[in-house]
Amino acid sequence: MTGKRGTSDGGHSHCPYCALQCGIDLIAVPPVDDRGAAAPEDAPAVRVAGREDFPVNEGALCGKGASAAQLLSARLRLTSPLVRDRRTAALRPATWDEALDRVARELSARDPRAVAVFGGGSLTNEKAYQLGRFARTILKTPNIDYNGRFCMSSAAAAQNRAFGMDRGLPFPVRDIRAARAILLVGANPAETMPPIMRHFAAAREAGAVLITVDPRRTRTADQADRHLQPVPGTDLALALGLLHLAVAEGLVDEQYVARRTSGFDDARRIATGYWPERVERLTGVPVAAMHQTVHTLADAARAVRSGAPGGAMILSARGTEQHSKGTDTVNAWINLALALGLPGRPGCGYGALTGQGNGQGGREHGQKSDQLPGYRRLDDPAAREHVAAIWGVDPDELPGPGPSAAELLARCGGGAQAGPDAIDALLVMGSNLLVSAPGAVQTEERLRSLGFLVVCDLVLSETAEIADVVLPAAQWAEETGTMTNLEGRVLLRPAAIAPHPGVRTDLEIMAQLAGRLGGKLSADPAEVFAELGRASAGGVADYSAISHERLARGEELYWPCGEDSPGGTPRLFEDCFPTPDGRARFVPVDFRVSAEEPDDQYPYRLTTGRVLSQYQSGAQTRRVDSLNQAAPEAFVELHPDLARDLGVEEGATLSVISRRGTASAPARLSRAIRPDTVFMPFHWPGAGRANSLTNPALDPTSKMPEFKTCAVRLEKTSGEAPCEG
Amino acid sequence: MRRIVVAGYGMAGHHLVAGLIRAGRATPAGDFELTVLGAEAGAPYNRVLLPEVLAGRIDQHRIDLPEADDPRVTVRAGVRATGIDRERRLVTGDDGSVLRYDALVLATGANPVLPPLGGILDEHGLKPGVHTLRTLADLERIQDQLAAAPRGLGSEKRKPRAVVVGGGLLGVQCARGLTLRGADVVLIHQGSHLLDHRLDAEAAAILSRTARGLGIEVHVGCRARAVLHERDGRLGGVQLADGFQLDADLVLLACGSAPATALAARAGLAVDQGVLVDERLASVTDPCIHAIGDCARVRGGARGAQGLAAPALEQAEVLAERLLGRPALYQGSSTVARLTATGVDVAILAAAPSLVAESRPDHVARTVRLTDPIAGTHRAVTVHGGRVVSSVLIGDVSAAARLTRLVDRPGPLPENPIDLLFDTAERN
Repeated sequence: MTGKRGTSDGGHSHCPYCALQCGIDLIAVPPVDDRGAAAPEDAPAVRVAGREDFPVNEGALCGKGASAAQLLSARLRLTSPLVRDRRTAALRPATWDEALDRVARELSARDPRAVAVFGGGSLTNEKAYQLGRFARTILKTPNIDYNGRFCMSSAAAAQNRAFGMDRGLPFPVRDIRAARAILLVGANPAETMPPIMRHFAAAREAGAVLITVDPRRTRTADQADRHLQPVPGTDLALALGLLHLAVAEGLVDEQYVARRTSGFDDARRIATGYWPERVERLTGVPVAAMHQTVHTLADAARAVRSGAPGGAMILSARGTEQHSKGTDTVNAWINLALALGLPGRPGCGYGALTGQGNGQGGREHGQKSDQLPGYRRLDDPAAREHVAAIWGVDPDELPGPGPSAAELLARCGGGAQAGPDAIDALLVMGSNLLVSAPGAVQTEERLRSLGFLVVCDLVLSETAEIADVVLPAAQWAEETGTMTNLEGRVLLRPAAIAPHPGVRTDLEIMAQLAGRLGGKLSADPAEVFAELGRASAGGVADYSAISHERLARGEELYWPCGEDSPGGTPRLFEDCFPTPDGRARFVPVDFRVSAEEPDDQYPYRLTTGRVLSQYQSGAQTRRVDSLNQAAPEAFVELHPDLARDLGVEEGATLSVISRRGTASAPARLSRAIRPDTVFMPFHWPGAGRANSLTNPALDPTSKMPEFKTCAVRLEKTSGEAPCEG
Repeated sequence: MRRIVVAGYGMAGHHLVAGLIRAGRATPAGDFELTVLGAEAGAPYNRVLLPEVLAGRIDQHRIDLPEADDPRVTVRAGVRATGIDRERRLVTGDDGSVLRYDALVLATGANPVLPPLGGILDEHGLKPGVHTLRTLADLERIQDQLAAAPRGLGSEKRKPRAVVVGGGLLGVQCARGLTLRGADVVLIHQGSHLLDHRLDAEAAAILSRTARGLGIEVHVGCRARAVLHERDGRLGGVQLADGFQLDADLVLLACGSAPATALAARAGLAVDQGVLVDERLASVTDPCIHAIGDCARVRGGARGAQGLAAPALEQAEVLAERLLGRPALYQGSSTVARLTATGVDVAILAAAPSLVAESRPDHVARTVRLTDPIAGTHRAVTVHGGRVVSSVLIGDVSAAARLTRLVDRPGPLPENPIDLLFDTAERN
C-alpha cells in the first residue's frame, strides 16, 4: 500500500486502543477538501470510520477510536530518535545509527542479568513474540515482563487454574446478546470500551437482567438493572456469599458439577463460612440484593438447560482483579459460574473483559517473565526444547523464569547500594511506567537511578522524557501486525500508509539492535508471525494454522487454531476443559482483607480507574484535543457526606495522601460513590498522579499489584488546618 | 517447635485453626504443632446455620466447614478436654489422652441454659420430647422427632405441636423454623415482650405482630412451670405458671446460653460470666492460656455467650496473629444481632463500647425512629458525636448493610440521620 497523502485507499483495520479492537475503515483524507481548503501539512493522511460489517462494533466507535488517526499527525508524535549525552543534559535529536549504536553499546556493556526488558499489552503479537525472543536469545537475560501484569494477570492466572486455559472471553462477544442474566463485576465498559455496550443493551432488550458490582455507580451501573456496591477489596467475600446462597437455596447445577468439574466440596465448605449476614457486614451489600442476584443468575441458567431462551454470564474486569488477592477473587467468581453450570453452555459462561488492545495476544507469546510462545511455560523442559529448536539455540542456554513486572521494577536502579540482582539498564517498549506503575513515586526514583534507560514509543511519554535514548516507533496504521482481541479472535491490521520517515517499526528496531549485538531477527511481520505460529504449535494458545494470508482473506479465526483445529475455536469448553482430566477445577479460595486497610491515620479507601475520554496512562489520548478537552485533568471523586465532614466544596483542591505519596486534584462531589471511598482516575502524571498513592502489594500468584484499594487520608489544600478523618 | 492445643472446635476454634494454617504458611513463626480437641464428633460445621437447617432452608449435610488439611494440625473430634494441669502445662482429654502445651486456647463455647422447670431432665439428660438447639446432634434429635409423625385420636396424621420456651433471638428463630416445618407453634416468653434484652416494647410489638401473622402463637409475660409427660414417657404438654396447660409433641428450650467455663474454673482461672481475658485474649490468671468465643469474656467487655459469631471470628483472627508472634490486640467488637428466619427480619446493631467512648461528649445522642405497624416495620437509629451508636431494624432491614458498616467503622454520615434508615446504596 502507498502512504502518500490522498492516494491511500485505506482499507480495513482495527482501532489502536482497547481490547475490543473495533473494526474500522481507514479513509484517505484528500490534500484539498471539498471547499478547496488545503489540509494542514502535519494532518494525518487518513481518518477513521467504524466498520458496519465487523460484528464486534457494527460500525460504532467511541470518541477515542473515532479520533485515533490524529496521533498519526507529526505534530503529536515523535519523529526522530532522541539521546541524552549526560544525565543532566537535555534530550537532543540524533540519527538512528547514533541512537541504535548507543543502545547496543550500553546493553552489551552490562552483565545480561543487569539488563531488563519491559513490554506492553498494546504491542502486536509479532512484537510481543519478538520481544521475548530478543530478551532471551539476543540479550540472554531472564529479565522480561510487561504491563499486562498490571492489567490482565489475575484473570489470566485464575482461568489457568480453573480451566487450564486463559482466553478473555471463551465465546464471541455477540453471545452476550443471548444471555438473560449478566453479572458484570468490577467492569465499567460504558467508559472503558463503550461500543460493547450495544451487546448488553440488545440482551436487555430481549429481557436480560444486567447486574453490576462496583463501589461506584458508574455509567455502566446507570445502564444496568441492578447495582451492588461493595466496599473495595471485598468482592471475594461477596462471591463466596453468592456461592453460599447458591448451595443453601438449592441452585447448584448438581449434574454439571458432577460431570464436568472437580473440587466442588472443598470450595463449598469454604463458602459455608460465608452466610449472607456475615457477607453483608464484610461487603456492605444487602442480603436481599445477594438473594436476588444469585436467583437471577440461576433462573437464567436453568432456562437454558431446559431449552428456553436463557443463559447467564459472569464477566469480570480490573475492578475485581487488581488486588493482592485478585487471582483468588476471580477464582471465586469462576467457582460461582461453575456451581451454576455456566462455562461451556450456550449463552453462558465466565469471561474477563480484557483491557489493552492486545492484552490477550500480548500475554500468550513470551513477553511474560515465566512464559514461552503459545502460552507455554518457561520452566517446562518440553516447551523449552520446542521453542529453542525454532530459535536455533540450545535449550540449556534459554534463561529461566525472571521477575514479574513489579518485582522487576523494584530491582531497577539503586546505584551503588544495588544488590547482585540489581537491574541497571532497561529497555521499555510500549509502556508508560511513570504513570501506570503502582507506587509511582518510588518507581520514578528507581527508573531515574538506572544506569541506562531506553524507551520505544510513539510519543514523548513521561517515561520517555526521563530516558537516555528515545526511539520513535511506527504506529498501527503504518505497519502490519496481528492483534488478538478479548474474544481470542486474531485480527490483521495491515499497513495502510507509509510510516513517517523519521520513525521505524518496533520489529525493525529489534532487528537492527539484534544485528548490532551479533544476532539476527526478522523485521518482516508475516515472517515473524509464521515463526510465532511454529513456536506456538501444540501449545495452549496454538496459532500455527493462522497466517496473515488467511486473515487478509477475511477468515474469522479464534485460537486455538492449529493442526487439530484449523478452523479455529470460537467457543471453548463445550465438550471438555483443557485440564489433564478434562474437568474444570473449583479452586478452594478464602477471603482475606486487603494488604492495606483503613486505620486512624489513613481512614478512607482510595480506588482508581479510568474515564471515558482517556486511555490508560493517557500518553496518547492526552495529546488529542477533543479527548483532552472532555477530560482535561485528574479529579478526586467523593461523596457529599464525606465532603461535608471535610469541609470541602466542589472544585476545591484536595490532597489525597497515602503511605507512599501524595496526589492533589479538584474535588468532584458525587452520590455515585460510597461515602467511605474516594476515586481517582489514573491517566495523569504530575500532581494528579493517582499511582503515586497506590500500593505495590502483589498477588502471590499473578503478581498483580493492589491498584484498586489502599488507605488514604484527605487534606484540603488551602493552608487551613488539615482535615482529620 | 511450639505446641498449641485448642480445646473446642466450634466457630471460634475452627476459625482460629484455619487462620493459623493460612498465616502460618507465610511466616517463619508458622513452626508449630497444633492439636484440636473437639467435643462434638464429626466434621466441623457452621453453628450459625442450625436454625436455617431447622427451617428446612439448607441441607444439614451442607453446613460442614473445611477440614484442617495441614501436617502440623491434628484434630481429635469427639474428644472433650476435661482437665488442665497449669503447672506442668498438660491438658487431659476424656479419652484419657494427655497433651503438653506451650499455649492453650479455650474455645469451649457455651451451653444452653436450662430453665427451672419440672420434668425436663432425667438421668440420661433431657427427657424425650424436650430439646435445646446448640449442636448438630441437638438438631438431628429435633428432626427425628418431627419426622416421627404424631397421630391424632383416630390415627390420622396431624400437625406436630411445638412449644418454644424463650422469646429471645434463638427462640423466635426456632419458632419460625418449626412453623416452616409444618408444626403448630406456641412461643412462650417470661419477659414483658419479645427480645426484651435487646428491644423496647414498641419495637417488640411490631415483631410480635409479625410472628403472629406467620402463625406463631405468642404469649409474653408467661412463665412455664413444668413439662408434662404421659405414663409411657412420651411428652404430653407444658404446664404454665397460671395453671393453663399447652399440648405439645415437642418442647424447645431457648432460654439463653452460658459460657462453658467449668474446665477453666477447675483449673483455677478467673471466671466471671466467661473466662476472663485481657485484650491479648490471654487469661488474666495465666498468660499461657487464652480464651475466645462464647466461653470468653474480655475484661470490661460484654459477658460471654452472646451467641454472636462475629466477635468469635474477630477474636480468633486476633489470637491467630498473636500466636504467630505479631502484636495484634482485641479492641472489642460492635454487635450485630440478626434474625434470619424467613419473613421475620430483624437487625439489632450496637457499636463497640470502645467506639462509643470516643464519641465527642459535647454532642447529645439523637435517635430517629420510623414505625409503621400496618406494614410491620420499625426502624430506629441513634447517632452520637458523629457516629452511629445503635440501630434497630424490624420488618425492613435493607438499611442494615450500610448501618452495619457504620457501627463497625465510623464513616461519614448524612446530614439528617433519618436518611440512614433507607437503603440508598441500592437504587432498585
